[in-house]
Amino acid sequence: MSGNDLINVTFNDKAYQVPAGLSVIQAADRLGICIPRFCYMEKLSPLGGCRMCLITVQGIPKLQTACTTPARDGMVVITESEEINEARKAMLELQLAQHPLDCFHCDKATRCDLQDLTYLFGDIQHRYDFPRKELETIYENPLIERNLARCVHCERCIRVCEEIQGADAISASRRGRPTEMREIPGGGECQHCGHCIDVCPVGANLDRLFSHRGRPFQMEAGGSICPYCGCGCTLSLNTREGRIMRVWPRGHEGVNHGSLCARGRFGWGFVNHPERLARPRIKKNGQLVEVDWDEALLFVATRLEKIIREHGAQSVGGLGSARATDEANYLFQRFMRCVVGNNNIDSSARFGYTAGLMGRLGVAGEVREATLDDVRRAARLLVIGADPVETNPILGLAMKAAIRRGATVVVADPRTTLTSRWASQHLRIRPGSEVPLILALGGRLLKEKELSAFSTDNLVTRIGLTTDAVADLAGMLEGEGAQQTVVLVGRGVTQAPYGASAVATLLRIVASRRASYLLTVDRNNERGSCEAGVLPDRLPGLAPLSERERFEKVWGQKVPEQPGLSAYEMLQAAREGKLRAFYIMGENPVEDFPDTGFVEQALSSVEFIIVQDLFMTPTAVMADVVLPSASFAEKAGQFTNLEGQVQSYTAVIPPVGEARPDARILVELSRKMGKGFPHKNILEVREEMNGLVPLQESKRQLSANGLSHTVPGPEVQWGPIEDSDFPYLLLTTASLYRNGAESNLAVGLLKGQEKAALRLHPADAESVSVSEGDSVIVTSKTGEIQVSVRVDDEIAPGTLQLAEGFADANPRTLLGHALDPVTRAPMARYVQVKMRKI
Amino acid sequence: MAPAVFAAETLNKIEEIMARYPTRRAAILPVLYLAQEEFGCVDDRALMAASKVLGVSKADVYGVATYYSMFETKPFGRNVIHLCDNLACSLLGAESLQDHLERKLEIQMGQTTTDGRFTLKNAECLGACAQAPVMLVNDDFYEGLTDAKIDEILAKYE
Amino acid sequence: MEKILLNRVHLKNSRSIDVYLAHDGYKGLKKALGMTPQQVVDEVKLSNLRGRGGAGFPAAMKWGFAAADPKQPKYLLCNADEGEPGTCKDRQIMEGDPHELIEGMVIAGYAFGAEHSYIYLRAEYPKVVSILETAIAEAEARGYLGANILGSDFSFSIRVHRGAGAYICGEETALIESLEGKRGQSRIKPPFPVNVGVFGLPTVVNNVETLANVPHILLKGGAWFAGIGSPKCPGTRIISLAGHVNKPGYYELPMGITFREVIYEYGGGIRGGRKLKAFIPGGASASCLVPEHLDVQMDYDAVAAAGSMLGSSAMTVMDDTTCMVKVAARLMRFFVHESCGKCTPCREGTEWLLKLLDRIEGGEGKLGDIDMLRELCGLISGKTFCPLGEGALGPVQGTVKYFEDEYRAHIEQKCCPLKERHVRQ
Repeated sequence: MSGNDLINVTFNDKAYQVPAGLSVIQAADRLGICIPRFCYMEKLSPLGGCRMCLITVQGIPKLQTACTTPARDGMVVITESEEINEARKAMLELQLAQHPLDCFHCDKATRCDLQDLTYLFGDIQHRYDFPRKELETIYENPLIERNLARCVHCERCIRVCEEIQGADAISASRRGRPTEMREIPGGGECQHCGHCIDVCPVGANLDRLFSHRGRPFQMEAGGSICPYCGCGCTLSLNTREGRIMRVWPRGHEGVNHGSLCARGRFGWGFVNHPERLARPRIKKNGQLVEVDWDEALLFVATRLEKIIREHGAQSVGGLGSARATDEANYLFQRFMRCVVGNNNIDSSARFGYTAGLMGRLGVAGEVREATLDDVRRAARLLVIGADPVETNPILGLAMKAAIRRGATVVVADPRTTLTSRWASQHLRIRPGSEVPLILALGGRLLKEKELSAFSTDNLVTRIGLTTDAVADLAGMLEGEGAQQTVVLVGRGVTQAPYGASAVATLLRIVASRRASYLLTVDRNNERGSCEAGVLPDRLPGLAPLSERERFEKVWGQKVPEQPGLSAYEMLQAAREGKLRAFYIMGENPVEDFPDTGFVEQALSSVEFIIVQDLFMTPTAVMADVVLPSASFAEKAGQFTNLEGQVQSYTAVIPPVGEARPDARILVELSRKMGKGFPHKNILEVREEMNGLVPLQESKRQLSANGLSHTVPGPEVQWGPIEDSDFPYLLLTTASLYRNGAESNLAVGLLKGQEKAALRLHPADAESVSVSEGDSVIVTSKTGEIQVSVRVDDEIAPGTLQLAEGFADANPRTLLGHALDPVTRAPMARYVQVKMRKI
Repeated sequence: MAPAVFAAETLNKIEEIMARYPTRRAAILPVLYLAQEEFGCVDDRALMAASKVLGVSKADVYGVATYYSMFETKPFGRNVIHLCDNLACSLLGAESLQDHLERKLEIQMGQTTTDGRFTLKNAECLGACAQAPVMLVNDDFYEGLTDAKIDEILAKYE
Repeated sequence: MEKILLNRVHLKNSRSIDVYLAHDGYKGLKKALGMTPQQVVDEVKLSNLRGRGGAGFPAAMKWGFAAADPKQPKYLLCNADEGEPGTCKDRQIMEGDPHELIEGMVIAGYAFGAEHSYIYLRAEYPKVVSILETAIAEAEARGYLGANILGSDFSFSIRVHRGAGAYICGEETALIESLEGKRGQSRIKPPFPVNVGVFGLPTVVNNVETLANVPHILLKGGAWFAGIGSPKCPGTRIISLAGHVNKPGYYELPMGITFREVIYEYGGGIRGGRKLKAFIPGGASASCLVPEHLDVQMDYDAVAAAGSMLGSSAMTVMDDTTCMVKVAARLMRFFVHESCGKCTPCREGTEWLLKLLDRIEGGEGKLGDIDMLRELCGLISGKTFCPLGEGALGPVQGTVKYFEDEYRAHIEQKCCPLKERHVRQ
């Protein structure tokens, strides 16, 4: 039967038609017929355990459970009768028999299904007259408490952990009445998605960060979009008295379909962090001191004007933000272009999304871009140089959903990642060979002369794969099934030499096979910042500078003709003394950009630095003016997620102290500089932006212009050159618990994982005489860090893996910043290091 | 702490067992029996070892190990006495046999003697009701028990 | 009456294949291999062999369903998880005549097209593992098992899988879950095991005693078997007789004889010449019966009409020194221990029942407790996920029905009214 067939069913003497293939409870839910339940959830496999959904099916004498009974054509169902009522009341009496009834101090009270159903039936007897179970709370998990006595044994937490999160952290231990739904002693499997808290119908699984911070009715809930990675998950911020108390998904809404990752759920702690910047600061006698906004903005305007006057507009650089809103980025580029008067505009998207974007722009015509839903439905997933499970956890869940539906997942990556552990096949290619691998696939599949050099056996050997393995991989993009193939591309490709060329090649393959692709995106608004025009050679909507007249008309201001400098070109210029002022909005290059030593040195040569941020970051410390900006929860705006979906949200709480939204700061600054923007509010900014770059079905329509890219010759050095002074190769990875400076200030994420850990093979641990938990000093040509080790026999010998994002041991200190000839982005995915025990 | 891996010899046995089933997971009960033998009980290390060799999550192995009566998560004695006290054996005096065993071994049901020689456990029907009362010591079955017979039997176990 | 299943167990070396072959062994298989699988199914259908595990489902029908499913390979699972307290019939076959079971399995596999099979053996029979494995090796060596059995195209394997102590694994879907390496909990039906069974493939689960009948049916014909004992449920049953009788033991008897015959003729009457107080006719989940039922015939319908069930035909006999409250409590403790915990009524209800029984038995019962027991059975009944929860009510319902006075005396006298008593709680 196809999914569109309808069947006839009768519920409570009324005839209905429902799609075939549903269970009785699913049919009832679709018809709005209420059947009570504890264990059933649409998104989980049925259990049939709680026995609350008992119904009568005509012709069967015994009551049946609606969640386990398939709805059949002609079925006659009764969902309410005296017998059914009594049966459900019996289940409630049995559930309540040993329930601790400690609702007075239960965080779940008034949002509890057990309370609600007991209330609904009204007259549940309480004949159990033995002592009740003592409340037993388990605090083994740093973020989730488990109250075993409150458990109704619905096993939703177990099922959600296994079937959706794929973490398998919770198990039912023992059997019968003593069964406990808990993590195994010692735990360690939990990925702190907190889904078990959401699905718990009672107060058995609770958020420890929330614990007793308010009754549900004291909470206000506001919708928002997660500020961490590029997935752009829909959040519901629970606030009380202007402070965030907890974060939930918003029902099934959004790309995340009701799931969150550790960052989304527990990463909000930075918003109300005591170290948030509350007032502007300017440097006076070498000290940053608090001043009022008027003084700060006037100071900025005066100094910028002076530098522009004396050294020309070209002496000012600007970093927009891969984290700020589309509107803020849009205004930032307009500020740089029209108020300052140059195109020196870039952001940290340069070493992420931008290379992929340049690859995309290199392909004329349509290339199907996958959505998260496409990934969920994919039959084959080819993951190259990406670790979506950690960089974009909800995309990781989409991949796991596809696997559960039978999809084949092949991961080509030199690292051992959470993603590679899920793969049907993990091709451990040589470090740095993501690009030649793609070019070799191109050589096979596109049959173009200039790519043919990449399908030779010699090159294949250098990738670390046999010719057959590459042929198998190519097979995933051939045949009828290719349409159900999604290629996921990550920074292993985009941050490698000729990454953009590789992306362009891959997308041409994808287009010719009618497959689809998706770029993983680390920072929440990399894509939005680019599309808003934070690029030195592109205007909003990625329009080339040659189209600037269109923009000048709307803005009533001139747009410079000359392309500007990209991020590292600006830093290079700064080091050479050519850049006098640097306006940094919501970026933290001193920590977040590869080769932090170089970045710091470059910035220290700049005469006047403006930093607009939430915190006194290491970059802000170097600034002459620090402007406090409002966090995502405190302002309205929109983010563009990795699929290109533009999602708007509004302020949920007032800003901390005198912090202001970026957009407002930019408008006010433009006025102070005599070239005032006209916008009175964020909606006017959005309207102007959307007028220039129209939205269609929540996506911006971007025209690719098919620029040609240099295909590298086979002589290019792929991967590291051996260096006996630095015998180990450190590969950077991502962590579920970190994503940017804010994540280091979120108490929930610190509890999830406090410090960085260097993962290495047991043989390598032995060679420097360290064991689990010991600390080592890791040194590269550019820097040195101290970090504790975690021994893992799945890590390739000779390689070390360290996640980016931990403030305590930052691999970016060790990385170099050699620039890719095409994208001018630092190629920084690995670095040769040496290591010694402390 | 010893590493959470099986001895090479056990691993060979496990490979042989796994070959009997179309899935690795199906070998979980035999592997847990081997783990219990090798690690003394199904403790954390045994769970880790079993999880790794089976390719089954630790949570699932733990859920299974704690579900079945034959697996112990805490160390137990060198010899395990399963005294049946289900109905047929009870009707024929299992209760006084239990008293006798508890007095003789100076432990309560469920406990292990201080010298680690015996662990005393109840069994839910050993399937020999016509020979009641009965008990199992390790893999050896004894029927028609009396106090004297028990004394004789226990002497055989070191 | 001639024995069928236990006709060889008294022989010297009865387990060995040579003895088995010398006494008609593997003749049924030879005959079966000369027939088409469908003919084998038809022959068994003619015999009207019904499952001996307790539910009494016609064996040939199960085979037919599995044979009709196009999915391959198919599995035969032999349910040797004999866990119903009081029951020890399958053990007699496996320990005394393992080849009888093996032959039955090979024929069954041939009949519905299974290639692989497992004997799911209860954990408490550790010695039986090696007995079965030895017999399997013997059969393989002689070509009765393995590849191309007796030169035919048919290949069949048997593996012994030892359970790990969970009564519920005797329920076929829980057994399948357990064999797959999961917590042995019953599955949602449909789909049924004959279509989606172990490892997602068509699976037939047959009891040891059911399968052991198969070689005899093939050898002597379905019509011969159908003529033995009760027409509705022909053949013999191995009755486990335990408790206060002079001659406890295993008796292979045709269905339809009376309880009086079993207890007084085969069992030699009540020990010490005492009076019969009650007897359980079919395992722990069967409600007890009393002397007035002695002339009830042992067949499914007659026992059901008397308000109990024949189940696994395990009889436990109790004399007048037995405290029936203690009996109920003891059996309830078993069900509490064995409840898997999945469904609310069984998980919560059995523990509550046990607490009430313990309280009454301990002399601390309240007057309303007897009614509460009855009402609690009502809360549970008809709502459990699997038959275990329903079965747990048997001991309470029977004892409360026939011995309400004894319950009341416990409550009123605040102690057990019996002077001499057995059964430890």
